[in-house]
Amino acid sequence: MADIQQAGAFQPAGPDIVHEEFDGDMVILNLSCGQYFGLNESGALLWKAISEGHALAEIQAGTGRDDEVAGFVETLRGHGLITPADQSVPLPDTLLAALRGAAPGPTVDCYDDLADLIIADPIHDTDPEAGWPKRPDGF
Amino acid sequence: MRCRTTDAAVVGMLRAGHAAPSPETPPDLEVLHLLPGDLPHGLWPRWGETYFREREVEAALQDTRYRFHFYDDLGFWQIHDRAKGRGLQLAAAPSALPPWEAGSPLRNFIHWALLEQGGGLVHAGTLASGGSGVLLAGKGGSGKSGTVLAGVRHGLDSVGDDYVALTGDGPLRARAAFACMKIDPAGASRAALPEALTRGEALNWQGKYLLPLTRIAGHPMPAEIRLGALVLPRITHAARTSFHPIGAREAFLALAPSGVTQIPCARPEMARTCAAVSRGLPGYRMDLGTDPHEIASALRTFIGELET
Repeated sequence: MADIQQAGAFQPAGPDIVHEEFDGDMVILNLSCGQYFGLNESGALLWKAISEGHALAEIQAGTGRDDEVAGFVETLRGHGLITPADQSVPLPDTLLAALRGAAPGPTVDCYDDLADLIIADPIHDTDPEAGWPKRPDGF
Repeated sequence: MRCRTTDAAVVGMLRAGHAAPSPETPPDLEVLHLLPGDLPHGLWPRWGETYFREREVEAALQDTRYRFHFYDDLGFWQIHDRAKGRGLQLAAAPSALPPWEAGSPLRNFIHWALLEQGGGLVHAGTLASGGSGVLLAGKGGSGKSGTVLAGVRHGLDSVGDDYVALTGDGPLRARAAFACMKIDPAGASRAALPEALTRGEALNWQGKYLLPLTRIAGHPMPAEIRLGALVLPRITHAARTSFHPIGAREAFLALAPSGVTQIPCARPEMARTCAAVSRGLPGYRMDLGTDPHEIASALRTFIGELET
């Protein structure tokens, strides 16, 4: 947790991390590995605040739930979705107000069922052991 | 679009693979396809590393005016200047093209050019009646191509069964990008395709026939259709075909994956295009019956009801 607080602010971990909202349903896609993530309403709001690069301390102050926010950040980092940002972006009042009214209990559900469709590259696939790029067997 | 080349194989591929362009429309994309002999000795580029690190290159070009992809197995280069609408394609030898180019020539360039106009190619089939129709999305084996085949063989129109061009202005419209349809022998048999259509035709790299859509359908196809729904076919062997509303998220997760995988150097944009389509069109799951005629008839009724 300590290094999370030290980072100050975060950003999506590269252009392969894309998110889309559908009727309040947030979906994050990791285009490099094919995983996608479903967030509940509270998680979607936190994702918006975190991925826009607002200071973690401000987000925590907004929700009043420091540990919950830090835990959520840790989960996002564990999934490789965010990385520390060099500087933070000021938190707008509208988002601050939304964070103050946010329900507790943000969740992130990870899905792998599209991973065979959204692959890094059909020729030079990623392999956590061999590094990247790696030629799959048969090529 | 206009392409200049000395490679006869590319000329043939473009003539067979693209719908005839309108002579009045000025080209919004110009591609120059070169072979090593077209350039003075020593000017041909060389990729300096063992492999093309696709993701790193894409990330580096993200905010530039250029899009670029290199198929290192073939020594095949594609470079697009977004600002000028020009592309440069370099092939190491005549006919040394990625295998999918036969069915969708210059696919990457077309998608990159469409993105600049607020549209894009999407990996989906189409069926229409009276100028209005649906996008059909789903992963391989979902019944997408079989549905398009059933539809066009029983009187419906289509502007493509694999990739179609979406235009970015006003109500969603799909335009024909490529002229041919891919059919595997089993699908041709299921659809009772006349043997004369496939006799003597070679199978492509996926073991499929590549045949002009108009030849399969036996009637001319429109250049463009209005879209009224995004439909996800599902093989259920039901007695009758039926349609069931689904949410935009489910539609997006069916439409986006194959497109973002297959077209390089614009993956986040492709995901955004698919999300916009999923939000902009009502989504339906289509549980397929087993009779191609009944499937086509159900779709014609469904499309008619979307209009009212």
